[in-house]
Amino acid sequence: MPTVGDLHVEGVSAWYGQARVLHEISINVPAGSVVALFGHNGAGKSTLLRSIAGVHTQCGGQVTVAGGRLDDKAAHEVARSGLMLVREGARVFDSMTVAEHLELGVRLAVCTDRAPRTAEEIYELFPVLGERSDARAGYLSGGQRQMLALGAAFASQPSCLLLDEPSGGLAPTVAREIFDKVAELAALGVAVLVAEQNPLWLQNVANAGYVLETGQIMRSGPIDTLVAHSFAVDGA
Amino acid sequence: MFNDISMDLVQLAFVTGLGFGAIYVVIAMSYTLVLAASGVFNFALASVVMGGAVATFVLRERVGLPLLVALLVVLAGGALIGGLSDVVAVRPFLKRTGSLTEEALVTTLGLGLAFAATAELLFGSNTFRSTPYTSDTPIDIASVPVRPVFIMMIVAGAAITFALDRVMAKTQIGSILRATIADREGASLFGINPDRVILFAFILAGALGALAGFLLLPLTSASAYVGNDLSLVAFVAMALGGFGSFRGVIVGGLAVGMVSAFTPVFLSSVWGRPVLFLFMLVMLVLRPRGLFGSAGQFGSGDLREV
Repeated sequence: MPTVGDLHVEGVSAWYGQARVLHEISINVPAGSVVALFGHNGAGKSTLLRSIAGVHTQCGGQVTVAGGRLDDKAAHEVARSGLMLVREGARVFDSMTVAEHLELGVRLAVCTDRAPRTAEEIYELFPVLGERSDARAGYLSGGQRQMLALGAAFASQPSCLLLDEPSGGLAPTVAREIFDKVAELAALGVAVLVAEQNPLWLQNVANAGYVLETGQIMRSGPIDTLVAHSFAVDGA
Repeated sequence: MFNDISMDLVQLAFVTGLGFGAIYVVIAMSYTLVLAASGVFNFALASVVMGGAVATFVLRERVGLPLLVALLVVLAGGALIGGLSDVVAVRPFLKRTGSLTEEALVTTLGLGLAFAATAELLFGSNTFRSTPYTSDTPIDIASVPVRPVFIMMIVAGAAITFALDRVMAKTQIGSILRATIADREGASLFGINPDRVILFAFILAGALGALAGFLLLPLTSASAYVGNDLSLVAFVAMALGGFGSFRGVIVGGLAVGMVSAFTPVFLSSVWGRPVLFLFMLVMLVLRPRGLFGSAGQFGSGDLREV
């Protein structure tokens, strides 16, 4: 079982050079829940997730998971603290096999004293990965690559998972399948924050959400309310 | 004019090319490891090769250490110097983005020159002949008399290349190194500290460089000038094979060895380097990314493009 804990983001701002792109963002993701982060391209979703994960370093504010401060840590230390970021575009290591990706996740869990999920458990979750365990990631389809990115993250038994547009470029059935797996992981007590452009994807998965526009939180609340608002405004 | 060239001479050139080529592969591989991991062309590595040869000579002939003990000390020293070149000459200047910086380029060059100058101060312009590691009586292989030192170079070069390939492909440290080489940010998201991996690459490259010096010593002798043009040789091998390509380094290193060995046979020894660079120029015009330059990642196959 993963070590569970809430994710608290408090007053996070971020810059690219002199340009401020995030303005005092505060978000709460309770353990065992899926929280959505909606916004159009350029709203700042990826920058927020990357700032939380320690990848984007030109930022300020507080990030805590299970009460432990993460905002003063480098990306690899954040990962070792149990917070995993799955980046946009199903980015995996093209030359490495499926099994080698899962080993990286297992290694992360083991070296931080968390009980990892075995490769067999991940193959049960994503059977297609089991069928292609010896295949290099560069030869997988977009959906398989996304499943691999998630599978490797799952193997590390994170306490908190950040997903950056996991449905990007996928067929609707594949995307639904992936979100089902995300919901299963959250049910184990993991705090999951998912950035998406389309609120409909997360209507049946997320508990609550935030709407990000030009680097600011414009709305937040239960997922149904946000989806209804989105329909009313955008006709989405 | 080629009618005057005897078959014996061609066979001798082939063995010589294979022997030196095997060592050039090891040297170019050490450069490639550092280049792929950090984005830096570590000019100081040529001096590490020189240091390996000189230290082996001193430890064996002056201190009187047994060959294997001398080898272990030389490997440890090479690893230490390799690690120090990261800490002293690269890390302070490498930006967080990890891209090649002019500062790191100049500082590794400066460090290499400092090593070479120190060796020159200590040993002057003298060249010290080393006692052979094994008997120097030629062994007949398929009716070709081959000096044992060349067999040692070929076998050692092949064994090092094979071992490194297996380590990269089959071990956890290998997959950590490959992940960091492929995508430093992605690796850090799996809890891998890229700075440590880069340091490891420098240490491993230093050990490989020193090992190359150890293997070259019986043929080149020990002097402060052993490493003089090895950076260029490594550069040519990498350019031929494709920068960052593991397979390319093997092909490039062997090609450099062969061209260097056959040029004196067909032309004259003074044409050795000009022909080598001309060969590189022609290859780069025909195939600018090298033979394996478009290949992907380090593994049982390739490293990466840099």
